[in-house]
Amino acid sequence: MRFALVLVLCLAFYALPAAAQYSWYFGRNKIQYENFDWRVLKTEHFDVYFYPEMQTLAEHGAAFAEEAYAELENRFNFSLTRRVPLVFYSSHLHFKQTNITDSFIPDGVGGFFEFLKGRVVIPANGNLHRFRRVIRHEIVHVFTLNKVTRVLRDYRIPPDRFLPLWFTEGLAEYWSGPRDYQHEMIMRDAIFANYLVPLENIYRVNGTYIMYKEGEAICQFIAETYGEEKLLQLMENAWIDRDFREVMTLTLREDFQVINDRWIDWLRKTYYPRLEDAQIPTLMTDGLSVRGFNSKPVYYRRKNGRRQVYFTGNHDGYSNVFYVNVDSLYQPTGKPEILVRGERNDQFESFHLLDSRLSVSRDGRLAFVTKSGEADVIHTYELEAEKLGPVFAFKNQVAIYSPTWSPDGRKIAFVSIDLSGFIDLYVYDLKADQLQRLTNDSYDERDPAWSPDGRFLAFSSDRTSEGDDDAYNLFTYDLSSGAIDYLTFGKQHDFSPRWSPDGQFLVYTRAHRDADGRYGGQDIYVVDAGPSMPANVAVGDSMGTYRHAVPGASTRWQRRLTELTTAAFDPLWTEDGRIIFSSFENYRFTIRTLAQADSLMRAPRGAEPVSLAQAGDAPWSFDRIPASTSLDRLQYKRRYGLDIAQGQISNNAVWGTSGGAVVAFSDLMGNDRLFVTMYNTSQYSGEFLRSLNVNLSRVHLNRRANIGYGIYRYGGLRYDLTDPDAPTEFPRFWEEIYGGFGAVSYPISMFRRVEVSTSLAWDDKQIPERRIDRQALLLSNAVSLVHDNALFSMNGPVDGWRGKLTAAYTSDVLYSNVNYVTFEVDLRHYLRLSRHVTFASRLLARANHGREARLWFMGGSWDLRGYPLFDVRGKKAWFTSHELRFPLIEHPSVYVPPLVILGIVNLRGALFFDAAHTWNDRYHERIGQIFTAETLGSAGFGLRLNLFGGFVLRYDFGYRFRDSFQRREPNLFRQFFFGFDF
Amino acid sequence: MDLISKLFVALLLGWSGCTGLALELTPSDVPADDVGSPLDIVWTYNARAGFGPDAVLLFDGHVLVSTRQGEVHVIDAQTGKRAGVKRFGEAVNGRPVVLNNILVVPLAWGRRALAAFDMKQSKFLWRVRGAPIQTGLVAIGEDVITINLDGQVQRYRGSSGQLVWESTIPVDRTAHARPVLHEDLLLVADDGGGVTALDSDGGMLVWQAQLFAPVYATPVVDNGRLFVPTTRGRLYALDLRSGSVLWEAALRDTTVRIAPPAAEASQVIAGASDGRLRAWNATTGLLMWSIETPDALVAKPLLTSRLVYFGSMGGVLYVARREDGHMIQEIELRGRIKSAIALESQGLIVLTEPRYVVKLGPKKPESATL
Repeated sequence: MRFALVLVLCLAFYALPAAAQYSWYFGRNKIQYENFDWRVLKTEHFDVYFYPEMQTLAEHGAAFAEEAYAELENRFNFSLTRRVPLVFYSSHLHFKQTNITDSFIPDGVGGFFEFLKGRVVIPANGNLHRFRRVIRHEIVHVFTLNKVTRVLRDYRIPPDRFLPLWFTEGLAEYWSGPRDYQHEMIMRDAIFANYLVPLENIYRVNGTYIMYKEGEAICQFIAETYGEEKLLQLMENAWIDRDFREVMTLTLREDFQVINDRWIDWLRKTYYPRLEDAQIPTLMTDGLSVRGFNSKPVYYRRKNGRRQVYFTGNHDGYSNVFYVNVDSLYQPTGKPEILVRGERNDQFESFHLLDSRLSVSRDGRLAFVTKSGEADVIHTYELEAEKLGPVFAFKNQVAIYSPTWSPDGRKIAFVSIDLSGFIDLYVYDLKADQLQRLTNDSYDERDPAWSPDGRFLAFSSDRTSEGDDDAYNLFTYDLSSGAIDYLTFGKQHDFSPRWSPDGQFLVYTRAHRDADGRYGGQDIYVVDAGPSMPANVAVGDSMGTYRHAVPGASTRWQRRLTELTTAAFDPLWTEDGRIIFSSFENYRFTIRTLAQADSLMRAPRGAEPVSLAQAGDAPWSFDRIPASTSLDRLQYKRRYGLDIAQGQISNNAVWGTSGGAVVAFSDLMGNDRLFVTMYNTSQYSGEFLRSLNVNLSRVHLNRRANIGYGIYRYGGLRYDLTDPDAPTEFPRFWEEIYGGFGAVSYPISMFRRVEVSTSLAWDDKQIPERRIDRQALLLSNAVSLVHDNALFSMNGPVDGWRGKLTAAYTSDVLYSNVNYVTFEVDLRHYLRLSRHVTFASRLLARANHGREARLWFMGGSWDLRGYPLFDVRGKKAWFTSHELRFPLIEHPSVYVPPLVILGIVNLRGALFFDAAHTWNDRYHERIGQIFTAETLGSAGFGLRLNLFGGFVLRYDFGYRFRDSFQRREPNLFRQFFFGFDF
Repeated sequence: MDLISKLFVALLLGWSGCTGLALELTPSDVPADDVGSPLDIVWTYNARAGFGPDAVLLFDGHVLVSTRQGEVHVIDAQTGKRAGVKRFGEAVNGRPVVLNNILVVPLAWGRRALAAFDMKQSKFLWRVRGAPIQTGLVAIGEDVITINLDGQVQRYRGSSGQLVWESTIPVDRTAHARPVLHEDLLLVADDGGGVTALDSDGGMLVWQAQLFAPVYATPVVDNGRLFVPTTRGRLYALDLRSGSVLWEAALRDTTVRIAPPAAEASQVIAGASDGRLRAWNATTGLLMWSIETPDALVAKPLLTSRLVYFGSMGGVLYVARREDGHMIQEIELRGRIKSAIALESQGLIVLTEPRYVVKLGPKKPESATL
């Protein structure tokens, strides 16, 4: 279920394509849907930032943070001397709006610690146990950073080294709580499927979920084998060597390879005994969809008799709703097909792949959830008519998970997080358009399932009296009385209940601790749930009030149907008794079918009555640190802190020596940013003021429309190829410009935005060589429409499209010396021919028309290949490029291990074809060597090499074509460049 | 000879009468009259790097402090001015010793483990290759005893660097706590929770004891008992002659680390990572009192006849009454206090983060104004 929340619990999550909030050329939009009214709760060691709607949650978070501090102060034998800012969001959807990082935050990120200002940013998302654990995880990072930085400073070692990511993340996981069932699932699978990455190669999986879990396992191994104190000692010895392997060898007093071998032996001894009697999913079940990621299956038999299994998945980069046809034996009769394409448009921005189930009504309406704008919505799809149905959105309901249809199809039940950050059960009446809240408390309800008779909702929750031990049990909600009854009880995790078609049973998953305290596999269970069963123990009602338990009232049986090596998720009981589920094995989620449920129930792997003897005690709750009763006193006040200060001196044959500095400030929320840029290009002291360039700008990011404004003064020698008046041979001249600008970027959706900018500037240009001394008061206005839903791979986009349409007008409002319009269209389309092959096309058209219209230029590796940069110039231009991108070496880590050591992640090839044409108003007559007034082109082959996952080395070679492709130049050109594909 | 060495020699020539024994006496082991209160900062010296857990060396009106950058600084105790500084190339984590004008320094990393610097002639006298030494040294007569990262306990001649004897603690263990010398017994506590008593003359094993938890902080001897702090919330009192456990104080929270204790007469007092300073009855192990502070306590406290001085990771120096733990004064310093406090004739010498040596003395009365 909330597997996603810890999928990438992270200190330093990876930079995704950054937000387009500064009017970058392309890029998706990080939209501020909410105008958060920030408040500050000050505890002994933390400043907790929250908004009033989530005050209770923030008070819990504050208590969790102080609780973690007290423990970690002991573990680190260290105290923090500065207050730590903790920024809480009530849901992951709100968290995605944070400006503390410019990166987009995917669903899996549970929180992050930002080094620059030491900010910890965490969403709650409905589960207090998880919230507590993530807070602890991030505070471990805070301590680790401060501790190691202190050690390095004590020894006067430059802070250009740090602990490896696997250690910092592993330690944060290890010290944030007991190993959970997800840890055990991953490590068991890694051992059984033999993809465990040895310690010496762990850099190969840097930043992945397996790295987190392996890091946690290594820390546990070190603690158990060498002593818990060695973990701290590893940090205290960080000064000794840049190579952490040396630090480990010294600290643990064993050779690094011996440590690695001992760790792997330790893992094998831990997990191999569990293989006995365990069932391997791929051997005991049939696969329905096994490629890519697949989850949350539901089944429907159409009126024409066709059986179909629907599920959410991600096979090629975009997440979709898929379906696969199956026969009467539940064997797939074809490949999975896409039913609803996701993540390409505003309607289906993203799915909660691991958190939200699908549901099909009896009359064939599929309900599923996507993020759409500021909140989640429930979509319906009419399977018989094969068309999208109504969409349901609810005011103040931020996140929605797992809709389930009532048997009559008139209502939908689901769980949802409101602004407070707590998750509760809701029922929506479609006809009456009424939303009813069924629970209202701090417990985590999950996966509601409507009983076939319509009387009950079964769901999973931590509202059990074992819930303070992070247990989840199954409950029913009686829709007529509002009573909540136990269905199962114990210290296990019971998730994902579904009713059998006759309503006699519930099938669900369970993970429980074995005798050694470790979680075993997550298996499929069935519990008696028929209407003849006596109501067990009333443990609460919709308002969360509890009555005392009546022990020993149960005669229910729970049967274990599987004993898997790893884990089963979301089992489903079909009309003819099959069980369909998603399975985790070999680091993949697949959809599988199990044998007939009744045959499994006749010979279960285990069976026992549900024991409620201990159930129903007083409800558990977590501590809180109450905020002031007067929220006004807690109002967030904007204070600016330094983000970056950088100076630079450069020497250039054209410019001579120049120097400058950039300083950036922002407030704690990253909403308000100030930039100061200064540089000077003077050649001697007398020119200093004349050549002083200053830019002061401010950007507001706290509203949906991002607003920027500023003033500037640029003066001195300019080298400008785009100025039509500049000397053609050596386009250098004096110019002084000062003025102000304003810009607004309004995101229509995650994928589209409108950009508007204006500037007013006094411009004095002097070109003695051409006897030009032109003064102008320039007013320039521009408007752009940008679209970007491209999907990126290692070397650049591989799917989707992006485009930009710009119109601008620049004029001299005082003397009419300058007066020109600008039009620009840039379209890029990526057609995915197969998983690894993409055909990319680009069409660019540009025109500047009018007095002193600027020139466009082309050439170089990024557009017209084979022609030198700047040598293709014109006031009007078109350009087109087409590229077939394909892999040459897809998995060098497997086939060519030495390449990995060199940081080479993959090697790809490209067949390209470029063509362009530029026009000028006799400009080219002044400079003969530029290419203009003819259609140019090039074609050839290129290599793309991704180094260290971040730099793409491009090497192109081919032939140039001239005179509208009538003439091919004889020599092969070669070009070498760093940069992503277009 | 470089200028720094000349300065060093000029200073050290005046130390010719000093003996190692005098230097080995840790101030907090020797109750003295209170410094007086309230305390105030007398001077602050920038030593350019951080410090190990031990207190500074004091004699003849000078403060000698080693840093993790590998320097030994000599500071005039009266004025706080630098009198000299010598680089030893590698980090120094443990406290050096001075033996008849020979400064012996333990090196925390590198091929050389010990370096002896003749302070009269301003030249390196000898160096010993071997495993690094990250703990403080023990002076015994004209010799020095060390324990290195390989767990080897070694006694060297101070004058020549000649190895006198060598012994080892149990295999796969090392010591992070400075050994303690008491009469003819050398007591070594290791990171496996073992305590080994060796005959300091020949290195022969006298007794061994195994405790519940590793030892990372230096024990203390008082009145026939060895008080051993451990990492898992326990403090042990061992019989010095047999190694048997006399009593054990166990905290409920096993993540707590007990800091190096100080002991005198009927009391053993130690801070802990949970921010509490605790005083136990040295005979029975019963808790007499405890004081709570906001930050971890990792440095050894300093005892005088009436008071206890202790620093915190919050950068605060506290003064409390030994009798009942009543807090008398809190002084906020510039950074965390991680090293033992030394008692100088006219005040306290405190080492604070990031790199300061601070002297505190009785606050001078403010001049009367008419």
